Amino acid sequence: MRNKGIHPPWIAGWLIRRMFPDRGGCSILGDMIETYHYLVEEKGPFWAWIWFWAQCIKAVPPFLIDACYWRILMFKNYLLVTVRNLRKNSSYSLLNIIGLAVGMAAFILIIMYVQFELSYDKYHEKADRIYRVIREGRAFTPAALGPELKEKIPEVEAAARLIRSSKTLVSYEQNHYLEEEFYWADPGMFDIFSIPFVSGDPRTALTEPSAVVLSQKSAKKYFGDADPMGKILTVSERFEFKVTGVFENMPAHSHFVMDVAVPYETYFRATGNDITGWRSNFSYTYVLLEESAAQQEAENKIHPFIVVPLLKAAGVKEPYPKYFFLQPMTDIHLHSHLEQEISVNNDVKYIVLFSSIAFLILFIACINYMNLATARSLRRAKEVGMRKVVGAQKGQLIAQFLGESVVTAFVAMILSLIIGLAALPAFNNLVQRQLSLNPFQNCQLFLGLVLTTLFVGLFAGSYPAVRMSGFKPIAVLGRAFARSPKGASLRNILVLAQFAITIFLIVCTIAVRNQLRFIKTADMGYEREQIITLPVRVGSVRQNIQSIKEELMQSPDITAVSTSGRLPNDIDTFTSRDWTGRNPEEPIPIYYNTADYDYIDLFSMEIVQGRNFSRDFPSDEKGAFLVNETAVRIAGWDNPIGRKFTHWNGQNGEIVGIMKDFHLHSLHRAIEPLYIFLNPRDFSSIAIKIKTTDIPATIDYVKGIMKKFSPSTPFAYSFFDEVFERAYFTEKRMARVFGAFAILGIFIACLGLLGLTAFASEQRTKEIGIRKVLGASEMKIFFLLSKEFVRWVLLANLIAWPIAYLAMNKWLQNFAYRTYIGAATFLISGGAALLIATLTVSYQSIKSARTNPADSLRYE
Amino acid sequence: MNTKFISRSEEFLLLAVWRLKDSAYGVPIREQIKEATGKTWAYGALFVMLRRLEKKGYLKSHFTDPSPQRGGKSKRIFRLSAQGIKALKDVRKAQESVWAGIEELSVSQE
Repeated sequence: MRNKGIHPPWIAGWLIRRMFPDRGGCSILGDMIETYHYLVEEKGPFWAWIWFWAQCIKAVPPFLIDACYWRILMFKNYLLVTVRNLRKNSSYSLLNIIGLAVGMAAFILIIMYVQFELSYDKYHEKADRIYRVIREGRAFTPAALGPELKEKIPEVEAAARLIRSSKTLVSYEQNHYLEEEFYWADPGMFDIFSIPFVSGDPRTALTEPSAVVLSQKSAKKYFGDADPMGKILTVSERFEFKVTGVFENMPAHSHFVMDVAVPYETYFRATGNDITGWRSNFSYTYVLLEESAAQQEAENKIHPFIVVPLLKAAGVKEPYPKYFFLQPMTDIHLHSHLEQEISVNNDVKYIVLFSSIAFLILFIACINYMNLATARSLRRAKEVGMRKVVGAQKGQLIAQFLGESVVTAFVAMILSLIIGLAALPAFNNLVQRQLSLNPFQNCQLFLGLVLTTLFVGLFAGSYPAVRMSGFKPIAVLGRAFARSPKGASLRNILVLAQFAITIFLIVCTIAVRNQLRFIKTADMGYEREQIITLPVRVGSVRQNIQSIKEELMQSPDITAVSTSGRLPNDIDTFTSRDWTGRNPEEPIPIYYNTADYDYIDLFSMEIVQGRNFSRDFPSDEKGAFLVNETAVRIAGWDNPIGRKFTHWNGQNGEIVGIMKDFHLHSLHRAIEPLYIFLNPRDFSSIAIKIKTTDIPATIDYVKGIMKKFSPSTPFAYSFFDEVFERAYFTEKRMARVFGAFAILGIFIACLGLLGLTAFASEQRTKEIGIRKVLGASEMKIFFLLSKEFVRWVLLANLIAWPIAYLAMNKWLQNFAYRTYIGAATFLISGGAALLIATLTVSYQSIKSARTNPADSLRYE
Repeated sequence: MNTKFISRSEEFLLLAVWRLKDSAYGVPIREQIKEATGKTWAYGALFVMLRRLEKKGYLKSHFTDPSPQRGGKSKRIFRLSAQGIKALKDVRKAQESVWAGIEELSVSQE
C-alpha cells in the first residue's frame, strides 16, 4: 500500500495542519492522506496530487467561517444589545455621551495646543545643533562676539548675529508699512537656520551691503504679483535696499518670524556704531556647533579663549566672572525667560498646567461614564446573570461591556469633533494661536483621536465592566438582589473626586482673577489712563519734534506731550555705571531711560527731593539726571542732589532730583535702580495725554499732524493702559483658561450628578411613596434625596482647598507684588460648587418628592 | 419545552456515525454521506461540522494508535453521545408526526 516516493504535497499538508491543529492535524490530515493513497492507485499520482491540493483549498472557507462563527454570532448579539441599551435609556445615554464628548473636545483642543507649543523651532534641519549665546539673565550680546566665536572656538561651525528693529518704516512707491519683523542679519544666518529660498541664492543674498531679502508674504505685500527681485525698498526714509532674495514664510512655531532681513553690517554703517565693540549689547548671537561637539565643552571654552584675554588687555583685575552661556535654540520658546527676548515666550509651566487640566477634564468625563454605567448596572444584572447561566465566561462579559463603552466613546468622539470645531475660533482667541482641527490633514491628530477614543472607552468602561461581569448569577437572578453598598460608596468617591477637581479649578480662577484685578488697580507710581503713545522710527519726526509738540498742544483736548526712549511700564535699557562715591571697580547695574522735560509731569510721577528737569535751568541742556529712590539707596548716597553722573555714552551731567520709586517693570519684579537722562532730541516714542471728551476726533487730529511731518509713515498708536496690560498676557490667558475649564468641569460633573440622582430616586420610588403615605413632607423628601450628594460636595471642598491654596501660593510667588488668597475665595468657590450641585440635584429631587404616592406605590 | 432541532446535514452526519459504529472516522463517514446523498464533501467542511457537533455535545471522540497507512497519523473515531441519540430521536419523531397520514401525496404526485 505504501508507495515510496509518492507523498502528498507537504505545503498543503502544512496548511491543513495550521488550519486544524487537531493533535498535529491527526484526524483530518490522516483521513486525507489515506484517501490520497487510495487515489494514487486508482487514478494515478497526478490526479491524487490535484485532489489533495483541491481539498486543501476547499478547506479554507469552512475554516474561516468556523473561526468566526461563534464570534460573529456573539458580536451581532453584543452590538444589538448595545444599541438597544443606548436607545432604551436614551436620556441617560445622552447625558453620558455629551459628558464624554465635552470632556474629549476640551482634551483634544488643549493637547493640540500643547503639541503646537512643543513643536517650536524643531523644524530646522540642524535644530539640535543650534545654540543662542546669552549673558546672565539677558539675551543681548556684543556685536564683536559672533566672529570671535567662529574664529576661536573650534566647535563652532557657523555663527550669525541678528538685530531686531520692530516698527521699522519700509516703503516701496506708495506702499508704506511699519514692519514688526524687521531684522539686520548676518549672511551666515541661512547656513544655520532652515529658511528655504523661493528665489535668489541664500549664500550670497545678504553679502551686498544694500541687499534685502523678504518673506513671500511681505514680497506680496509690497510688489503684489510682480517679480520682487531687483526692486528697491526704502527703509526709514533714508536707506535704499535692493531685493536679492525671497524666502518661504517662516512657520508660526518659530521663536522669531522674520519678514524682512537686511545685512547686519549695514546697521553699523548706518548708525555709526562700532561693529567690533564689546561694550554695547543689542545683538542676538546664534551658533551652529559641529555634529560631535558638546554644548558644555564649547561653552567652557568661551571664557578662557575670548573673555579672559579681553579683560586682561583692558587691565581688569581678577577674578573674572563667567560672561557667556549657550542655550539650545529649541529651549528658547518654553524655557527661556531672559530680558530682551526676541519675542514673547511661553513657559513650560503653563504647558504642564494646561496638559494637567486637559487630563483632569478627561478624567472627570471618564468618571462620569463610570458612575452612570455602574449606577445603571443593576438594570442589566439580569442580563449578566442569564449570559453566565448559558455559559458566558467572565472574560467574554468584560469584552462585551468594554466593547459597549468603546462604541459609546466613538460616538462621543464624533460629537466632540463637532464641538471642537465649533469652539476652535474661541479657543484660538484664548491661546492666541492659529490652530486648525482637521484630522484628515494631520495624521498625528488622527492617530491621537483614535487612541483617545480607545483609551477613554477602555478606561471609562473598565470599572463597570469588571464590576458587572463579577455578578453572581444566583444572587442576581434570585429575588433578593438589592443595592450593593460597595458600589454606592465608590460612586460617592468618584463624585467627591469630580467636585474636588472642579472646586480646585474655581479657586484657581478666582485667585488668578484677584491678582489680575490687583495689577489693574495697583498704584504703579505713574499714570496710565488717557494716554496714547506713538512709536517713532524716522528722522523726519525727530528733527521736527519741537514744531510737532507745539502743534499738538494747540488742541484743547491735548493736555501734555512728551518724548522718551522708553515708556515707564517697561524700561529694559540697561547699563552698568561706575558711580562716583563708590569703588570704581565695582560697577553697579542700573536701568536707564532718556526723556524730555515733560515726561515726569505727563505720567504724574513724583519728585521727592530736588527738582524735575526744567527749561528754567539752561544748564540742564548740557546734561541732567533724575534717579529713583532705589538707586539712591543702593548707591548709599546721603545727598545725591548735585552729584556728577555719567550717561552710558559718556555724556556728563548733574543729578537734579530724586523720583519716588515707580514700577519700571511688571509687578513680577521688584523695583530696580533707574536713572533718567534728559535728552529731548533722541527718542523712540511720543506720549500724548488727552481728555476723554471726543477721543476719535483727538486721534484724528494727532494723525493729521503726524502725516503732515512724515507723510510716508503709516499712523500707528496705542492706548497706554492697553500697552501696560500686555505685560500680563500670560496671566490673563491663564485666568480665562482656568475659568473656561472650571465651567466645563462643573458642567460635566453636573451631568453626572443629574444621572446619579435620577437613578437614586428611581431606586427609591417605593421608599418615597411609603414615606409620603406615612406623612413625610415634600421638603423632607427633598432633603433625603439631596443630602447624600451635598455631603460629598462639602467633603470635596476640604480636599480641594489646601491643594488649591498651595498651588496658587506657589503661582503668586512669580510676582514681587501680589495679593493674598483670602478665605472669601475658598468660601465663594465652595459655595458656588455646592449651589450648582444642589440645583442640579434638586431638579430630580423635587420631581420625585412631588410624585403622588399612589403612582409610585403602584409601580411593579 | 421547545426542542431545537438539528439541521439536515447534522442529521446526516449523526446517522452516518451511528451506522458506522466503531469505525466512524473521516474516510468512511465521507463515503457514507456520498452513498446516502450523492454529494462529495470536502474534508475541511466535514471536519468543521464534526467538530461543531462535538462542541454542541452530540458527538464524542477518541484517537486510535497512529497507522503508517495514514502518514503516521491516528484516527479520530466518533461516537454518538446520549444527547446525540436524543437529538436523532427527536428529529425522527418530529419527522414522523409531520409526515403522518400523507403517504398518498407521493403516490398522487407520480
